Amino acid sequence: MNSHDPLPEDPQLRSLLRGAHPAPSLPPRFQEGVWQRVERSQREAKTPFPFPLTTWLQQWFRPSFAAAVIAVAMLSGTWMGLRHAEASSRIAERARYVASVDPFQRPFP
Amino acid sequence: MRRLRPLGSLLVAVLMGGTVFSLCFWATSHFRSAGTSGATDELAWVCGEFQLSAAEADRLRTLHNGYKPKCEAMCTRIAARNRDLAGLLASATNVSPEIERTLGDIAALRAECQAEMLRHFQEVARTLPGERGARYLTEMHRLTLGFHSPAGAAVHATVHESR
Repeated sequence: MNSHDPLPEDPQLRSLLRGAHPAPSLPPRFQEGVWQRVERSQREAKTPFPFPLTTWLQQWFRPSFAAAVIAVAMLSGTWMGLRHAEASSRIAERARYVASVDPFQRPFP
Repeated sequence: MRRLRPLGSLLVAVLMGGTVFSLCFWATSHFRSAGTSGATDELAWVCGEFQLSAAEADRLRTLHNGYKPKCEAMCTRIAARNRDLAGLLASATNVSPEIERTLGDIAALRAECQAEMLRHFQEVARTLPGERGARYLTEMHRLTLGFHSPAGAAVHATVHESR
């Protein structure tokens, strides 16, 4: 129980006071509606530019997960790009050397 | 809607990751290749592949510059014989004795070129100490003597196993 209970400890007085102030009946799905409004207001507060794409991404995708996916894709893409460029460059250099020593591997006019 | 959430997240992850990966891959390989395409040193591959020191690279350059005029002369002779053959074939309806003779000349020229080229490779290999010389020879035989083909690869394996 709450230690700051405004109702007195006497049970008879307590029931009398309860009867004098009946609790109003809440509309159906009141609690769910309140939480939905809280969530919506939090989302709107976090979105400085409420474009549809941003809202959609926020709704479907956790920012931490998105950051991880982008970081992994960037690192792996850069690493693979470097490997690919180095391999292509080595192949081109090898072809240049072979063409410089083998007359039969040169294009004839 | 809530049941579709993991599927939507996965789809977004794949699309976003794929796009970022492709962009980074393309940008890195494009700019890296653009940065190295200006290099015109014919010996860059040998120097890198066989880890030549500055002194070894200088020796190789001297040998290469000595061999180049011979190679250029052979190229000129090959080009001339190829033009002769092309001229004969343009008007021929059968394999004439002249075409046969030209083909024989080209074959002899090829043998002469290959012998000269092999002598150059052996000279270069002698300047590379240890297993690098042997590896250089093996690699050059594979790249220049038609050992790329399956039949050539079998010959190549026999030559290098018998050593």
